[in-house]
Amino acid sequence: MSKIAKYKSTRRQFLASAAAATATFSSLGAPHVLAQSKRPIRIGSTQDLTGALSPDGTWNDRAVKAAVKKIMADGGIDGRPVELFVEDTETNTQTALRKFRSLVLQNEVDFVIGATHSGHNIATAPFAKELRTPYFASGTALETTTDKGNRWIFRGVNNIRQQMKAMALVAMEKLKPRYYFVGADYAWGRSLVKESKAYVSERGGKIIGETFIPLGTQDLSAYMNNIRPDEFDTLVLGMTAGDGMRFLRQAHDMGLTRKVTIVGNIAVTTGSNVPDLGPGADGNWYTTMYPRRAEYVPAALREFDDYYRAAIGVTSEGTDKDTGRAANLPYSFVAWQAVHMIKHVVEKAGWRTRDDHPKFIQALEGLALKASRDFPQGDWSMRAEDHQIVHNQYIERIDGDQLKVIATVDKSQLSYPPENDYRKERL
Amino acid sequence: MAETLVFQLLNAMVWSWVLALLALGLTLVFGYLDIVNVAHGALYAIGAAVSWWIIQATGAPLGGFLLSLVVAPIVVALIGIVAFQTTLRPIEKQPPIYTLITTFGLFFVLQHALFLIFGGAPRSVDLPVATLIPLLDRTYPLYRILMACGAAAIIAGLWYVLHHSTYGTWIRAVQQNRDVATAMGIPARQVTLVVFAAGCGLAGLAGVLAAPVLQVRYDMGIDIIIDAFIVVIAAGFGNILGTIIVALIYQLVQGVMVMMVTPVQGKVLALSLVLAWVLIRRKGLLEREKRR
Repeated sequence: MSKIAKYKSTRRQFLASAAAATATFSSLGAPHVLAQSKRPIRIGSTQDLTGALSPDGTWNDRAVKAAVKKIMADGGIDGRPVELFVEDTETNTQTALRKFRSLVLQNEVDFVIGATHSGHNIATAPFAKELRTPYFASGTALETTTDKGNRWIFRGVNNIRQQMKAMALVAMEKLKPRYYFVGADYAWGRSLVKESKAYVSERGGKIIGETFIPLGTQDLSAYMNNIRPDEFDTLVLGMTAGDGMRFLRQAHDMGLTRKVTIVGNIAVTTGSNVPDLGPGADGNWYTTMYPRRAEYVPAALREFDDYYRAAIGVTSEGTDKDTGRAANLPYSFVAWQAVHMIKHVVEKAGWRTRDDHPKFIQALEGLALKASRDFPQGDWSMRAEDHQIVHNQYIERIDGDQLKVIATVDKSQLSYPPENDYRKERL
Repeated sequence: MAETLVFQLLNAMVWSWVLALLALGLTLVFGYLDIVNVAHGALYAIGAAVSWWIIQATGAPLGGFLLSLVVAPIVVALIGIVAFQTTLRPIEKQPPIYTLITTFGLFFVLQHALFLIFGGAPRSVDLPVATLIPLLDRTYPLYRILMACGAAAIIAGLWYVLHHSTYGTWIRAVQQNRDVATAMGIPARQVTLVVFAAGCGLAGLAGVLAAPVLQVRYDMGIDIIIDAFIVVIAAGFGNILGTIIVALIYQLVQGVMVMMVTPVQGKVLALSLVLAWVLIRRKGLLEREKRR
């Protein structure tokens, strides 16, 4: 009896202890985990909503918001709602850094989607590592995924090396071989010229000369006078919207564009309707990540492209359905896809809290996904070593008032040996 | 080499007149009103944007351009009047630092208002006159020469008004001693308003003239206003002839330098020369402050 009583007593004690332990555990750790798992996934977005790169930033912002809206309509990420925090960098790197820190430390975001401005991306990289927050860069300067990058930064767009390699592959096949290079005198412009020169030389092209022009220069004719168009056939232009358009305008006025073909990066045309580019743009070639007009999107991607354009309010001509102004498709898709990358990788890695960031990073390293509504640009793969995406690239030519795709370069031709292996960094 | 030099000299002379026109608005407002108008760059951009709208609306590059030469400076001057009455008039008796801070704020308000209305992307304005002039073995746009002539004519007209008209005498009288001028029956409040509006109108005119060469963008005033301030500081605020000469020298140095060194080095050398000039001659803001 006593034994039984003792046994019963022990069993009761055990059950009581177990209940107490459960209660104690519940009052400490479990609610925390429970709360964390129910807490919305917080995504921060630092975009150039005002300032020089606002044509990029406003469209990136629209794409991020549309992507979050779509994901929420589909039930969230892993069943959890998404909370979006947007900050304006004012196209100022110091502001971008301050906003990044504020998003992580005050808003406690889990992931941050960065702007097209490479300066912001490069400057933010060490802070992303220090604050242990995965950061998705949208800029294309090479350094972001070479010596300035780290294991906490991923780039979802072909970098300038891949973009200009695509251009060189097509240009060397179809254009005459004497090349002159003009770049804006800062990291991106110099990087574009350097990479283009390398691929042109590699394929037997002749380098005639190069000129770098200070950013924001108003009258470019002083620099153009040193360029002799009778000495070359193709001018590679490494300038973005404002400077690039001024160059095209003044090059046309000075008779330069009548003698040579200008090839460059689609950044020149960002946010501009083709007629607004002026007469100097006619016949130019641009390397781009996304066709402006839906008719040039490969048939296999049409359905996804239609969905994406509708989601961000863009017509099949590549214009804003409300204003008729040109959309920034070549860059905004990067922001759209970054949000979806977060969704796919969170679900794949079983990410629940910030403590799971190492699992998230490892799951994204080397990931390859197929085209879908989430990835309308096409199939892509994220290189494990340097966190650089590889996807197809297009070459567009301005014919009259349209940007027409004249070549598609498969992503298999755009890879190169990684210069870094971030996987050596401890997480 | 000789051909390139000829072109560089021609370019420098052409562009220096536009720069001088823009700088003249600044120097007029400071020289006569003691207002450092940082918003000048935004007013220049508004002038260019108004020109773009008019040309788009009329569909005629030349007709629209000529119309905008009249309408844009009026629109910009009206904006200047509203800004002056609402923000600068209440602090007109304060030291220039007050107006500097106020116009700095105005700059942001005007620039971002233009951004909201005009958008962030650049817009192209067709050349009103597309003729190219054969020069040596090259061609040169006729519009650039006409643009320089237009700017020079406006500057000459302004100089004439200031020195050979009754209103010009009133302006100079108000500048020398506002209280005495008022006692003499000169409408000083009206004169200050007109001078400020004229300075703003000059910014708008410079924007119209430059738009076909530079393209129109909401923030186009930022870069050129720096050059304009450099010219005005080196010339001395309020000095019309000095403004023209410094603008010409500044452009010539940059143009010739890029034949020998890289563009960035050329810019550095040009700015170094201006800095040396200011240090040696001391004909800038500091000396005027001492006189006061």
